Amino acid sequence: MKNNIAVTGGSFGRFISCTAPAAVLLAALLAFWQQQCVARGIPEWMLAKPSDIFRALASGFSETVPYLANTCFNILAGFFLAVLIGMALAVLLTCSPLLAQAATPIMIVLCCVPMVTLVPLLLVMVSTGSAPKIIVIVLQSFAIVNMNASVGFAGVDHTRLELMQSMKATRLQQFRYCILRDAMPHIFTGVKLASVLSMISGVSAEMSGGSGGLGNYISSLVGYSRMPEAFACIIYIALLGLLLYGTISLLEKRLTRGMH
Amino acid sequence: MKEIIRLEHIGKTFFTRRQTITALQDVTMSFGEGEFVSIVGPSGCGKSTIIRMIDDIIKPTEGTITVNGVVYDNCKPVPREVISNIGFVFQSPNLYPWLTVRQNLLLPLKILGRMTEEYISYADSLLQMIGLTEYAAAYPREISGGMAQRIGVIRSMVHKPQMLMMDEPFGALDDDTREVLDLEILQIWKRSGMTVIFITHNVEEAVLMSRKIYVMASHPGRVTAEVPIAFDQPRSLELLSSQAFSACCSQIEQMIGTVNLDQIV
Repeated sequence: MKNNIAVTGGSFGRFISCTAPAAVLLAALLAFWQQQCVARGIPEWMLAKPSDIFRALASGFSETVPYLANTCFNILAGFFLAVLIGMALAVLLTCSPLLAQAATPIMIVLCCVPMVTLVPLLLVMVSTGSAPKIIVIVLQSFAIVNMNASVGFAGVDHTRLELMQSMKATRLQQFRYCILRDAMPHIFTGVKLASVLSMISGVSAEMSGGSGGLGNYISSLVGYSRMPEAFACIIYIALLGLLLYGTISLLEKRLTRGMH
Repeated sequence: MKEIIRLEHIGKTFFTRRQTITALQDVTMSFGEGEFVSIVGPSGCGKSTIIRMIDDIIKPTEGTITVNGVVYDNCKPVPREVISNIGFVFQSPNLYPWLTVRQNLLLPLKILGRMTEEYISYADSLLQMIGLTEYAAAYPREISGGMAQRIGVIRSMVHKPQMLMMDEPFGALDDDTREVLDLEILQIWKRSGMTVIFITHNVEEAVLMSRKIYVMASHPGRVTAEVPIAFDQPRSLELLSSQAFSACCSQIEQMIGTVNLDQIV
């Protein structure tokens, strides 16, 4: 479908033809939103117009930067820690079936419980800064990385592993050249899910208490009925999420080359 | 001829919760240095298991394996020097899809720590010999099954092993392609002087290639005959149409067949 829209060659032409349908739809939706707000005379404190939101995006940016930076830091730190812990644990659990048996139920529970419920407790236990948010993100996200990576490690193709054995590869070499690469698609499924979970749990943690961060800022903006600014913050969060997910997808494409 | 591989009274028993399966029973085989030996038999007779034991992928439950004078310990891994002298060709090409053709080819050198100029240029010359140099940067899914299997074959030799285990390497290919590749293997074998153990269930292929054939039967897997093949070297595809060749083939086919019939009766 993409191809019959684009007649022009080159990567720029392809980019335009890929993004044009989405851009047109988005523009149409925004125009409808704007038109309805104006036509019905909806007050700003109830629903901000897209034009006001865009103005707030530009004018309120410098005001938002500290909150944005705080959120970026929390989410990235939490996400990277979650991936690191999840992967390390997957290696450990793959080596020890007994440990895996013991830990799996806990992992499933961690995936099912919304960790944001811990925020009030953590505020008392730890501090009101970044720490409780990062803890919530890690708790929410590492289990999904661990579970997917474990499935990938355990399901490594038998003949591919036999090739390693026939070359007398050490355990470390088997892991590095075969098991890890074979498990990449599974690992990335987990990492992508973790990025989404990190965004959700990070921002909700900020909204549920403590200070700093976009989540917190949105709550206070809404309190002052500054709806366009609140919407602008949501757009920043969306962009941050897209950037994170997009970077991971690019990395996935590189690391699973030739696999599909 | 100097003996290089010896299997004595090898047995392999699998214990499952419900039953005990004897995969191999009292298998004794001998392979001379530089010899091309085939093992034929019905599927499930344990022929693949035998070469996996020689390559230390599977451990036997009974008997001893001696390779190059080293006796395998059934509880400990065999020393790397012994196994790195053995190449293994799988039934499927078994190339890693995330590596290019050339990276796949160089993988054994990487694992064995032999990424020297000498070995790398040898790998490239092998690639040139099979005429696939232009595919060096391609990914395995971009080349045909026949090409992939040839890469799998030369990958088993890049580290210049003395012995080569081939597990039905061309079983998945059509007859014409298989015959061409068989002769390619024979040429490589003659030039390199490697000891080759060739597993197949195709009797014609076995007779065409080998100096000696072990015939096996299943349930339990065991050796039923050892047949020397006396045709002249070098062998060509014309041999396939000669009368002596078909006589030899039907004799071996009968050996495989009789044993199975006995079991049914």
